[in-house]
Amino acid sequence: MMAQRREEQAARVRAAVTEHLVAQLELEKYPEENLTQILGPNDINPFFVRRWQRYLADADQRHDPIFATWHKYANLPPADFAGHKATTTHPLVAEAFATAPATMREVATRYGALFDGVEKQWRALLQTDPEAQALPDENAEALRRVLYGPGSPCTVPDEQMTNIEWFFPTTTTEELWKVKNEVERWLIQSAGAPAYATILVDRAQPSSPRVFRRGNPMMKGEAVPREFLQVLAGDPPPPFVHGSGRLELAQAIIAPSNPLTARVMVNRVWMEHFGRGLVTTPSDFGKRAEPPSHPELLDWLARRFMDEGWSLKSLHRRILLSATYQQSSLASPDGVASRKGQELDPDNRLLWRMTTHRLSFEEMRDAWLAATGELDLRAGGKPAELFTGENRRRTVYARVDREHLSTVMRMFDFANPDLSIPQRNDTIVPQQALFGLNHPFLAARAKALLRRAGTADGDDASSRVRRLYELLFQRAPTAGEMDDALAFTQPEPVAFVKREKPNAWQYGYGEWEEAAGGIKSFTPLPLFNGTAWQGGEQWPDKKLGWAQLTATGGHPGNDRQHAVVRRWVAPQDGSYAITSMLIHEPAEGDGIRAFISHSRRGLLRSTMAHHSTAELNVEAMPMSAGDTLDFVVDLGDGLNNDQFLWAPKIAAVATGGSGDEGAALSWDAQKEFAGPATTPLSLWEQLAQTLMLTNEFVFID
Amino acid sequence: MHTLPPPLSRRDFLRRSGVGFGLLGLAGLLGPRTAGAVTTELPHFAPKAKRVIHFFLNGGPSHVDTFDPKPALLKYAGQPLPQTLLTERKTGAAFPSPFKFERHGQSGIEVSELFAKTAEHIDDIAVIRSMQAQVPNHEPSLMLMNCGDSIQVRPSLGAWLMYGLGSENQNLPGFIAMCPGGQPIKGAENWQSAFLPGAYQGTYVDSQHSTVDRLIENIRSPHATPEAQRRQLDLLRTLNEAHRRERLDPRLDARIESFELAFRMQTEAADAFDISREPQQIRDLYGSGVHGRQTLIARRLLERGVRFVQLWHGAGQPWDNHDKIEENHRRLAGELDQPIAALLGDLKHRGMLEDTLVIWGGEFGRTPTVEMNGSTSKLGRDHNHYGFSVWMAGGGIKGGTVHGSTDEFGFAAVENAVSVHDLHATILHLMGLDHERLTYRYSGRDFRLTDVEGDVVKGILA
Repeated sequence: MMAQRREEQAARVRAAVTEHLVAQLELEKYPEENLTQILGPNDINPFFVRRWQRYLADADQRHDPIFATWHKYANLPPADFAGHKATTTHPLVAEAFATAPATMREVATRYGALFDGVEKQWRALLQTDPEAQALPDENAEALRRVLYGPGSPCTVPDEQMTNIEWFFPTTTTEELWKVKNEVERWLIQSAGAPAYATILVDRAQPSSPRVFRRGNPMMKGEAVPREFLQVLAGDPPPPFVHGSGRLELAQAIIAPSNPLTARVMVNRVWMEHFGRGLVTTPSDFGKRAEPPSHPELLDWLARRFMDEGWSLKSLHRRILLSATYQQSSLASPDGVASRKGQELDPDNRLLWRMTTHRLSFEEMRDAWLAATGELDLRAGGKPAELFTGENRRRTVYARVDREHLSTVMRMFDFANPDLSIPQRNDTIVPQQALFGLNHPFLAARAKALLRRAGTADGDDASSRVRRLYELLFQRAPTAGEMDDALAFTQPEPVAFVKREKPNAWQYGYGEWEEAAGGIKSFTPLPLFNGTAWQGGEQWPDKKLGWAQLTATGGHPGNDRQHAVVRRWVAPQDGSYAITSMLIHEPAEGDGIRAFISHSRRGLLRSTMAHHSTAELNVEAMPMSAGDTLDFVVDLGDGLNNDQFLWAPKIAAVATGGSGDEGAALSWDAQKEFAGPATTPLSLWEQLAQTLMLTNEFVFID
Repeated sequence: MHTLPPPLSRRDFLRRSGVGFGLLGLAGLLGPRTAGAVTTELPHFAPKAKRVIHFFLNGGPSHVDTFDPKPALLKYAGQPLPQTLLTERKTGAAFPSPFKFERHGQSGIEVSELFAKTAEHIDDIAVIRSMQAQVPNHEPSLMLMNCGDSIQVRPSLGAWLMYGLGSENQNLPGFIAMCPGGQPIKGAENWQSAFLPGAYQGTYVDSQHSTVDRLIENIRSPHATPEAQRRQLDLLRTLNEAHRRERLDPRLDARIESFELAFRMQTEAADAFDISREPQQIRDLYGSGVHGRQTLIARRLLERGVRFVQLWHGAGQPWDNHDKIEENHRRLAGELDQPIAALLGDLKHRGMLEDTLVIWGGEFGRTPTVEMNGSTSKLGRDHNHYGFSVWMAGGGIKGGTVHGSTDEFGFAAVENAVSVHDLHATILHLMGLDHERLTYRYSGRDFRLTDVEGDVVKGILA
């Protein structure tokens, strides 16, 4: 497809040589800067105008007889054209310019006509001989090669889409990207997709890199020769000569004569172990950086690192076995050394003690899962969303969506995936605490931890506390901690948990049964996406179609078997009244049917709505606890524009006399619209969660 | 120029103790320092404005239909202009504004009927009619307007303000970007922190929702009541304090404090976003639509010390009216005019306008020529980065001012052209920050919001 589109585009350019040559006379209309224009198939593409411009310049340089006439006139004022006859060795061009032209535009037009003629001849020849390789007349063939030959200014180079997307009309570019994306999606998502990494392959013909001024690839600056850095390789550095020079660059980076690479690497590993590098700016060893705290150590490690074949394993071992690494971060028992240290080196630059290590986001999540015994240690495979479903894999396999980095990861200082970040920020902000307190992930871990610690009611409470401490902190609780924990798990005399009004609403689907005046069977909608209950992550769902309920309304399923049902369950005996307004806005389609049904008394109200509004109210009626009211919507005759608004309100009506507190109660489908009910954590689970959030868990001494 | 230290030295970190929702600004991070360090005072000078609200008319509002009247277009109506500049699509003949302009206020500045209510406050407003961006395409222009660079990944204006000044209320995010019904083109990149700490990034709020747990992530517990959480936090504090006693790391205190802040934030955020606490007449003033609500929430946030609120018009690029501009601009302006006028009046009434900077604008303007679909007119306008209008009001702004101008037809800025860097320099200046001195060391060099450019637009300063 790409080849076909390239050929089509080349054909358009060949058919418009005159226009491209005329464009050379008004180049200011074809900006080279980064200005994206929407181009139709018949518009002159600035990229081809520039290609022609370069081609003409090259032709001038190599004294190409075909364009000698062009350049001759281009260098003359038009007033002088008449006195100058074309001098070219190319007979066809000479013939075309037998008489002097009046203007450059005429020059362009004559050239255009010449190429048009050649193009026609070639087409005609292909009709009779599809295998033809060249025009018989050598002079015509020379012209044909301008249109078809290697380096022709009419062709789109055979390269990756990224390099050539600008050569096409806008709709073609969009079409090609779409296809390319589909192919790539298929490669990544198909069941048999192999694990793969992105690799670089050199072009056969490397292009000469240019400086992009202000980072803008459209604003090309000076050419940059392929060679190593002047400051390291001498002035001038020897040029790279093999292909793109990428391999030579890599060799120069790790050359034994260049100690910088090993120093940087060693420093990075050190930084990850100690929280700070010997050089504190891991990507800047230059003059503006602070000098290393231990220069000899840095060089010693770097030297050994190189001598041991750049073995990271040996490097880690060397660092981890050192006395420095094995220090504790705690104050010394007698306090003297600590006081002295605090006084002389409060910043601990000289590493007189270990620096406390705060768990990174990944380490923290993994540590929680390890404590609960849930951590999935499987290696390799595709990344997955961290907090959806039952993802218990190591956090290193988290899916990183560069465009939509999750708020949680960002708040925990995950490195910006769009930039080179040598070292993460290390912030402590309340959003992190909110995650710990309120995110369902932590609540689920607390439950799991308690299960692991033994939840049998007959368990001895203090041994359960002990077990929690062992799982989380690898130590037994102190007497004080034991007392605190046990006290926490005792309910306080005054119930501190206020009973909230239980959620009375349910969201499901089913088939309306005319005879019974009710729904045949109520099945809950399976998925809550944060704003709506529906069939699945995708809407419409494969099975349940467009069926959806939101706070304010919804959409029925695709047939009468899939009416959507908003159900209300009476919490206690009493008398209840309904007020509601059903709105079907669209004029298109044939509207919807709506019903209110009582679990024992059947149909209460029904209506059809199409581009209309209906009040559906029911005055006070008795209900028993557990009775339900169903608010049902299904299709008119067909599926078309069936979205609706309908958020009923229900009020308990005072029955008089009894001082019934139910009288004050009312329900509002919109306000109370909610996702799946979550069960509150028990006191023991709250204890487990609290322990998981302690500083002791998050900071390593 | 003062040189700030590399951001993540341990010393810096120590200054970061006790940080709030948006962290303390740099001013809070730099206390008395050890020998050899530079003490930088922030803000650099007395600020005129303490907080910013930015109405972002994403898609690009037409200046010739709002704040930059061009009667000369009538002369050429239906004919090509003497010069048509190159934009994203082909445009044709001159397209006079279908909207009526009138003079307003003491200053007599002309504003179109689209913003008639806003125009009642024109004497508090400085209109810059000579803005210029770099290219006529949305994505780079959004990045330029928000982050000061159309190509590279750079921190947004709001993130820089957070870095420089922090938030005045540690219980609320200091930088909030609201957009009803989804996100604008480029999404969170518009309020990114890039290489600045993640907490400086704008908190995105979908103002289509009205309950706080839908507005801010993890703000409400699905599994514990506030009373139960208080008990948990009391135990947590007891355990953490015992742990703290034998240790030297101030981050331990910071983390203890962060839990208390989080707890308070749950109530404070709920309160800030709940406009039902406003008297009816105030709610009526702002109007009942989503923009009325969004703007009123913004005022409540500003009142509580939020540093920077950006109000986007809607998902995608609503103001991008290539077609039927008369109908579409009328509808869009109809949604915004009343809330903006209400905000200006309300801020003034509360004495907040004098230290609140109100900004109005899009990523660019639109062409004075009509957009063509082949040979048929689409009755709309294409993107125009050569000249467009932005206005500012409030803290430190000389009201009733017009700065700069576009050519006779409104195609390009010709007098006192103002670049986006100039605009940013001016905003920082009003906030008490010298744009040349607010720097951050990244990747071996000091970065600024204004890169190596930007001049404060003195003509609009009070």
